[in-house]
Amino acid sequence: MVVILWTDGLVFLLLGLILAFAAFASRRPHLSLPWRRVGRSKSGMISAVILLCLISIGLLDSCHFRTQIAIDKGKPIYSVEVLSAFDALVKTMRDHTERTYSSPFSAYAFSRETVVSDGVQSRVYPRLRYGGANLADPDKERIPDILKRSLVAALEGIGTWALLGGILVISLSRGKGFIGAASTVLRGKTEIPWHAMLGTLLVIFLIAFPAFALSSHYHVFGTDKVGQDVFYLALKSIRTGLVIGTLTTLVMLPFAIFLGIMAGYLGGWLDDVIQYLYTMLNSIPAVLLIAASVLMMQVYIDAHPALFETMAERADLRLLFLCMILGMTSWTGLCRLLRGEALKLREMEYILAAQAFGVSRLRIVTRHILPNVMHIVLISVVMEFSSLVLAEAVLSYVGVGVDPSMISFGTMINSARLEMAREPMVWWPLAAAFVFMFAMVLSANLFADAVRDAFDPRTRVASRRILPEKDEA
Amino acid sequence: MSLLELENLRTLLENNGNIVRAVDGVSFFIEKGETFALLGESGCGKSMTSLSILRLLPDAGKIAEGDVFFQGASLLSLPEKGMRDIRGKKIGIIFQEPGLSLNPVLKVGNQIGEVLDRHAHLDRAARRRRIVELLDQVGIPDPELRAEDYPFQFSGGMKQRVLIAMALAAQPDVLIADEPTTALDVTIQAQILDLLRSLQKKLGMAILLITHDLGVVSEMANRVAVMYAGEIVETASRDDFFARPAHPYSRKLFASLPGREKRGEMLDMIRGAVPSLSRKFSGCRFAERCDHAFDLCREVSPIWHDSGGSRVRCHLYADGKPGPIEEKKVVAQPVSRLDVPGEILLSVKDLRVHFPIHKGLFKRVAGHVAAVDGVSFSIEKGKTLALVGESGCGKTTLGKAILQLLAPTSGSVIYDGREITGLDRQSLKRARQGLQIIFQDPYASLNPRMRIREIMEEGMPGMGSRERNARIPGLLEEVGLSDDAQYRYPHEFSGGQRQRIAIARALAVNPRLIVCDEPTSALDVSVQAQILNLLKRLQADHGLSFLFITHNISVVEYLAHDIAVMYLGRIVEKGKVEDVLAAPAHPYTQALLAAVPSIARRTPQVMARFDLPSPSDPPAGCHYHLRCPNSMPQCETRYPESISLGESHQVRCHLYGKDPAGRGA
Repeated sequence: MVVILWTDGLVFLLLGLILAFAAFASRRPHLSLPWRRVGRSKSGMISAVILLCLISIGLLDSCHFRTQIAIDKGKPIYSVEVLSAFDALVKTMRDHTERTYSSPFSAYAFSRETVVSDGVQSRVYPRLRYGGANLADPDKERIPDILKRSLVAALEGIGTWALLGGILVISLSRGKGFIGAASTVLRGKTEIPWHAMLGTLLVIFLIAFPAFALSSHYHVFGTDKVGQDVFYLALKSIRTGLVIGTLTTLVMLPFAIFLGIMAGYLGGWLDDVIQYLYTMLNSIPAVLLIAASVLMMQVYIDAHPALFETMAERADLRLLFLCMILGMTSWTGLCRLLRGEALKLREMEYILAAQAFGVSRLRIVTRHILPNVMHIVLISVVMEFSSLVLAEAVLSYVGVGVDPSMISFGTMINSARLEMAREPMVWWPLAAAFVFMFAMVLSANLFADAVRDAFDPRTRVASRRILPEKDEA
Repeated sequence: MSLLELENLRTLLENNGNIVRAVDGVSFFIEKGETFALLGESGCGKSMTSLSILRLLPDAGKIAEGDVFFQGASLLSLPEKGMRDIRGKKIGIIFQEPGLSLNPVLKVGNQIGEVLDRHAHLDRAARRRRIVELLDQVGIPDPELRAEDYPFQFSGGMKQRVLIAMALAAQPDVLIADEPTTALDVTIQAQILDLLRSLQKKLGMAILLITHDLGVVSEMANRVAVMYAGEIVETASRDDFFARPAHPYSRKLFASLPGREKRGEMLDMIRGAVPSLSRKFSGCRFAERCDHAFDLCREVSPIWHDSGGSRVRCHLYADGKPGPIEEKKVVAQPVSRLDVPGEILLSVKDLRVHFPIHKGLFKRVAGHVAAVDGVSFSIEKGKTLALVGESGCGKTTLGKAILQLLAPTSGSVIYDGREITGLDRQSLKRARQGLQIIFQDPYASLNPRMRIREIMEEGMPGMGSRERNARIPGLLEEVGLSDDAQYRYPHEFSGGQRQRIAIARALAVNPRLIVCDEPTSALDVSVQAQILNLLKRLQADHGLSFLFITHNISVVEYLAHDIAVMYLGRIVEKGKVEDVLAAPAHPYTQALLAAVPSIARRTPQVMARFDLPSPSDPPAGCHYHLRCPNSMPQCETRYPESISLGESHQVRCHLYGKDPAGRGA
C-alpha cells in the first residue's frame, strides 16, 4: 500500500512546481538567461551534481509504502512499519543490525562480551552477525576481501560513468561526430562545463559504488549503540535535511512575498502594521519560540494517539510542524528585503504608467512587482537552505527538533555526543554525520553563490543589443 | 611643445569576452591657457579618453596603443607613484555628478585639505587659509563657515563649486571638465561656466571640456574636436567650426538642434543611433547614417583632409574637394488634418499639491512642502503647452497630479468638461482614458520583464485578442518600429527606441492629451530630433494635445504653442510662445532665457543669483525676490497678483503692477 506522508506530498508538490517553472522559463529568454549563466559557472555546476545525487536519494526516500503481511477475510493487513523505496533498495544495510557498537569495516564487536563455549566462560570480542561474516579468518582475509570487492565495484562505477558520458556526448554531438564532440567536452570547450561535471560524477561513482558494494558484507561507517548501520542512518538523514531546507522555504515564501510586497507597495497603515509584526517576531528569541511550539505540538500528538496509524506518521507530522515553525520565524529577513525593493519599484515609471492606464492594484503587483523581485526571492531561498539544514542539527541536538525516532543529522549527533568521551573513542557516528552534512551544506553554499552571481544585477554588466532602426517615414 | 598631447590613443574595454574599442586612435593637443572642447554624443568614448589621460580606467579597461605626453614627457611610461604626482597637481578633473564625487561623511574643508596634503606641504594655519581662499575663489559665500559643512548641506551647484575648488587646490596646469554642468539647471550651469571662464583667465590653466552640448562649446571653447564612435572626425577652431562645420556628422548635429527659427519645419535628423563600439568597423564609421555616403565610404576609413581652417576625416574633402553640398530642403511640418477650433480640452484651476512633512516619534505633521501651489492654466485641443522651470519647481508633480497619479490637495482639474479630482477608482478609470503620460527615463518606464507586446496590451484591457493583434503592429508602425519588435524585451532596444515604445504604449488608448515629462532630456541631440519630429507628426495626425514638461528652452521654442513658466510651485508667467519668448516679462523668465547657452551668442549672461530655495520653506513675498536683480521692498512682503500684459500674456511680478515705479525694467 502506498503511503503518502504530509512531507512526501509537499516535497513532490515542490518538485512539480520547480519542473513547471523550468518548462515555463525555458521559453522566456529573460527567465532562462540567468539560469544559463548559472550553467556556465564551474563551481556551481560541480555542486549541482553533488546536490542532485543527494536529492535523488532524498526523493527515493520520500516514496513511502507499507508491505502487506497477511490477508484477513479478504481484507489485506499491512505492516505497521512504513518503508520507503530507498529502504527497499538498501534492504541489506537496513536489516543487518548488530547488537551494539562496531567500528567501520570491523568483523568483531567493539566491546568484549562474556561468551560461553564448551562450558568455558571467556571474555572475547565476539564476531559480528553480519559484518565480515563471510570470512573464515577475518585477520588474514579481511583486507584482501575489501580491496577485491571495492576494485570490482570501482570498475563497475567507471563502466557506468563511461556509459553515461557516452550518452551525453552523443546527445551533444549533433552531426559533429562522436570523437569531435568527445574532445570538445573533455577539453572543456563547451558552454556548460561538462568536463567538470563528468569529473565530479566520476569521483562520486568511485566512492559510492565501492561503498554500496561493501555495505552488504561490512558496516562501512560502523554501527551505533543499538547496532544500526551508521552508513544507512547517514543516508536516511539526507531526506530529513532536504525536507527541512526546502519545505521551510515553501512555508516562509507566501508570508515573505505577500507581506513584503504589500507593505512596500501599498504603504500607509498596512506598512506600519507589517513592520511592527516582523520587528516583534524578530525580537523574540527564535529558539525559545520553536521550543515552545514544538513542545505544544508534542503534547497534542501524545494526547491524540488515535489520529496516527503508524509511528512514521507521528514523526512526519512533527517534522512538518518543525518546518512550519522554522518558516514562521525566518520569513522576516526576506520580507524586509522585499518591502524595500517594492518601495523602490513603486516609484518606477513603468508602474506609474500602468497606474495611468488604470491597471488594477492586484495586476500591478502580480505583473510588474512580483517578476521584478523574484531574483531576490531566489537568491535568499538558496542561501537560506544550508542555514536551515544546520538549524535542524542544532535544534535536534537541543532536543526540540525532529521526533527522536526520525533519523536525522541532529539525532545522530545527539546520540553520538556521549560516546565521544568513551575510551577508546566511538568516533564514527559523528564522523559520518559530519561528512554527509558537510558535503550537503558546502555544495548548497557553492551553488547559492553561483545563483547569486548570476541573478544579482549589481554583479553583471548588461550587454545591450541594438536593433537596426527603421527610418521614419 | 604642447602642454598635453595625445598620440593615436587606443583604449579597449573588455566585457565578457567582448572587446569594446572605446577610444580608437585619438590624437589631439592642448596648448597652455586654452579651452579645448571634445564634443560628442553619449557612448562615443569621450569620458574614456579623459580617464585614459589620467590612467584612471576601470579594471576592464586597458590602453592598447598610443601615448599621452604632458609637457613632452610620456605619462603612460610613468610608474604609478609618479602618476600620483601628476593627478591633481598637474592635471585636475571634475566629474558630471557633483553629488557622487564628494564623500558624504567628510567635511568639505577636509576633502580639499586632502588634496593639499598630497601636493602642497603647508602647516596647519597656511592649510586652513588656503582652503578658505579656494572656497572663496569658487564663489562660495562665507567660506570660513562653509568649510566646516558636510556635502549634504550644499546644493548641487555649490557641490560642483566645491569640486572645482578641489580640482584647483594644487593649481593644475590642465583641468579636465567631464560634462561639468550636465546634471545642473540652466541658471546654475550659467553660473558654473562663468566661474570656469573667470578662473581660467585668472590662473591661466588649460581646460579640456568634455560635453555633448553645442551651446556650451560655443560659449567656452577656443578649439573643438568632434568625436564619433571612438574616433575624432573633425577638429577646428571655435569660430571656424560654428561658421562652417565640415564633417557631415557635425552639420547634422547643427541641423538637428531644435530652435525658434525651425518652427513649422521638420527637424533634420540623423538616422539610427550611435553604433555600438564592440563591433568591427570597415570604412567610415558614420557612413551608414550619412546622407552623402558613397561606395568608398563603406570600404576605406578616411584620412585627415584640410578644409578651410578645419581638419576633417571625410572622403568628400579628398584632394581639395569642397565637401558635401547640401541642398537646402526644408520639409514643412505636417499641418493638422483635423479642424480644431480653439476649444479647451483640459483646464486646471488653482491646483495645489502639498506634501506633509512628518516629524518626531508619532509622525506629527510639522509642515508642508507646497510642491504645486495654486496653479491654473488650460490647454486647447491639438495644442502644446510647455511647462518650463528648473528642477525642483514642481513641474513633474503637477503632471502627475493632473493624471491623478498623486492626489491633489485642492483645486480642480476639468478634462473634457468633467471634473476628475476626487473620483473613485472606477469612475476615474473611465474619465482618465484619454489622458496619458510619457516619462523622462526610457530605461525606467518599461518593465524589463515584459515583452513589448505585453507592455502595449496593458492599455487595451477591453479588447479581444484579435483586435489587439490588429492594433499593435499599426501602433509600432506609427512610431517607426518594425513589426517583430513586439516579441522582444525592452533591453534589446536603444534609448530612442524605448522612448518610441513608450509613446506607442500611450497611443494604445487613443489619448487626447499626453503629458510629456521631459521625454527627450535623457536622449542625444540626434535622437531627440527623431522623437520631436514623431511627436509633431502624431499631433498633426491625431489632433493630440501635449502638456510638455521641460527645462530645454530650445525645444519649447520649436514645439510649443503656449508656455507657462513655473517657479517654486507657482506659474510666474504664461502666454503664447511668440509673446513670452520675444518679450519675457518676469525677471525669472528673462534669467532662464539668458542662461541658455546659445550658438549664436558668444557671451552668456548670469542673471539669476544663488540657487533655487527649498520649496518647504519658500521666501516670504515673491518667491523669486532673493535671486531677482530688480527686487523692490514690496517684493519681500506680498506675492504679486497676476497681471495681463496682452491678450494672452500674463505675468506675476510687481514690476508690472499698478505701482508705476517698476515699469520698464
